[in-house]
Amino acid sequence: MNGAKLLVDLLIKHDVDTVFGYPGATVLSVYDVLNSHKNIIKHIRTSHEQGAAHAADGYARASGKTGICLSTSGPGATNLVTGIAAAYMDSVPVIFITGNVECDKIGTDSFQEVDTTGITMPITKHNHMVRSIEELYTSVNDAFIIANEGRKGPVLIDIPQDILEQNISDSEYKKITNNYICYKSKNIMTNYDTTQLELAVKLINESKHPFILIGGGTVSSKASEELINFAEKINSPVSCTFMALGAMPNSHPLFAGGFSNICTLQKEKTFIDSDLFIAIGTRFSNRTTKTDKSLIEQKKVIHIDVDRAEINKNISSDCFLVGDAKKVLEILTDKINKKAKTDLELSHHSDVEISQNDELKPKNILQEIKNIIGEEAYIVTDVGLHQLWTAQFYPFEKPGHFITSGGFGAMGFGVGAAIGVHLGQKNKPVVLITGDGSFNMNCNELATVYENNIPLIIVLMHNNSLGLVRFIQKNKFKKRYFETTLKHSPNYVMLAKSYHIKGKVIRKMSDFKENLLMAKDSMKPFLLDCRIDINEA
Amino acid sequence: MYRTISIVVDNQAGVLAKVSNLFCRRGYNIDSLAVGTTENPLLSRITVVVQCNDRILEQIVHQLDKLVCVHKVKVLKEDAKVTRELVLIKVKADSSNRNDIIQIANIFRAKIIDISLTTLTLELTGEDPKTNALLDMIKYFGVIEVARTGFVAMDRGESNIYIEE
Repeated sequence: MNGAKLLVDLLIKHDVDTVFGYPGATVLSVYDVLNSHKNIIKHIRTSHEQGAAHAADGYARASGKTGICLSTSGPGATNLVTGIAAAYMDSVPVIFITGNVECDKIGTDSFQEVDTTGITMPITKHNHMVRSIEELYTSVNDAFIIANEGRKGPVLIDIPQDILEQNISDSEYKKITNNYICYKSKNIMTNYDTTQLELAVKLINESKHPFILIGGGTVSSKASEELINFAEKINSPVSCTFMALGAMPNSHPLFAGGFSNICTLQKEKTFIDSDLFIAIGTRFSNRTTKTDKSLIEQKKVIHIDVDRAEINKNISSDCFLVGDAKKVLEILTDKINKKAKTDLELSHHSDVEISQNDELKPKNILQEIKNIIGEEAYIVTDVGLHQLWTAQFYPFEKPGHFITSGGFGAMGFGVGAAIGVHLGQKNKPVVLITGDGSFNMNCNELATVYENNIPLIIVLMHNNSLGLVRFIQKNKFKKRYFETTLKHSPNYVMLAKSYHIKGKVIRKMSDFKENLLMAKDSMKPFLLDCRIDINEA
Repeated sequence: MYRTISIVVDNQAGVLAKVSNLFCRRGYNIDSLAVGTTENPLLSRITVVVQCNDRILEQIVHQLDKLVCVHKVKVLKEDAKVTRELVLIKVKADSSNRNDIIQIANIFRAKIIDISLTTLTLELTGEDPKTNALLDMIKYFGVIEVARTGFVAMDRGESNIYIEE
């Protein structure tokens, strides 16, 4: 047995059946083991390590399991950085395994050597360079716990090549496994502070107009049902951040729409008039609250989150409960008094216009995707205007079906993530909504889509621009557009064809519907090149 | 406002880097930092003096707590702690002023640990007002170089970092 076999055996022990990665010199020993374990672990080789990183991320989000990403040293590892940061910002459990040069070469500027742990320190929950096979065993075992405890997040393990290639005897292996002391979980609070709990119950019972904001933590904790029970018991509207779309079904009468919309439009009376603001599983990102912190802090605030460090970081709270959203909501719902059910007339439910003409508009496109593919669909996006349109117009009914780089906003996230999502939920349809800017960044992963027979439907909102950036130039820089127009787009249908994927240029809604239906039935990847007006905002 | 934080961490390579990286990327100002092993050879103790308000202090404590290598974080009470720092000062000294410098050193109970025809090196252990006062007095003679360890600190009395308060 060598380090590589020890590593792969450990992954199998931890129920890993999919690994995303890209081979290189330092990790070839691992690939050799993976080669002989093809029937147990499936390895997806992407076109670029960034694609593998985003795929492991998308896989983790969709499956609820820990994503695993493997790459070699130096440029292999640095190519992962954007993907690691994206997983970190959205609290996704992924274990990144990188090779490094031999122990005695470390720090000597060897070929393809880089200080991976130094570079990824600020963007991982924990990272470690192992210096022995014992440490390899400990680190990988611990990584599964660390990545998934409390607030989830990425962990990186850097392994020098000679440790992967080092041979150990059966007795040495037995010694390692016997001496292993399991990582002790950090002081994750399981006993809720009873004074805070009593205060929360008191504030809720006394409040006349509560308002709930849910964030990604609600999805991560699988707390949708508990949330709905809680909201219904106190007749409170529920708004959500990007990351929580679907945790409260769009059609539910208490759903008040996306929170950044509420902040920008200032139309939702129940928010403006509320006396109690209950935040669950959200970190009050500046993207969510925009400049509206005072509007929230004026009210009484209860902050429920699994990460103690998020309390009073961005918004001051009057009462906070540190713990798993699902459990906290269960306990709270049990203790609070029921409030009378009244019709709140939320503006979200009154804004219903269905356009009937044949013009290709983002809102209609998104509605048709829902109509034709159904609510089981996983919607993956890249970053940009198309992402905002999706968040605003797509009616999510289920939690965790909106897969997007919310916290980090990494363009190029889409194709890789969609590959991971499909492999994490094999029987569910996956649709990627992307823009030309983002798609240009990582369209090389179309090769991976084809090679792995991924029935991915790509809806490219082709508006010949970096739409969101252009929008900022329009207002902040008084239409001094510069470097945001993508005049010379490639012929995307031909591009897809070169990757053996079919596609069609779409200019009308009727064409869109027809081709989307065809794509869905074909069970093969398909690109819909939707021509959108550059001034669509 | 200055606050003193004691952090018990794994005694492993890279841990100091992780802690200082945290301070750096979140923009917390480190005034001084001292680190060494503890009574347990597997653990090290980092003493950090930061300048911040209460809100930032709360953030520092809880962000540190999240690090896997950190076992315990404690903010020492300003009025219930003992603090010490060691300072080495090399000052210009010749026959004309050597005695004056020695006199001043004696008043502060600083030790003279090195001497040459043109220099004297003083060692002082103490708390902030005392060490800075000596430096201010010595400046007059011409300070060549100063090396400070940064503060180490501990709770007074029966309190200690391992007890939950």
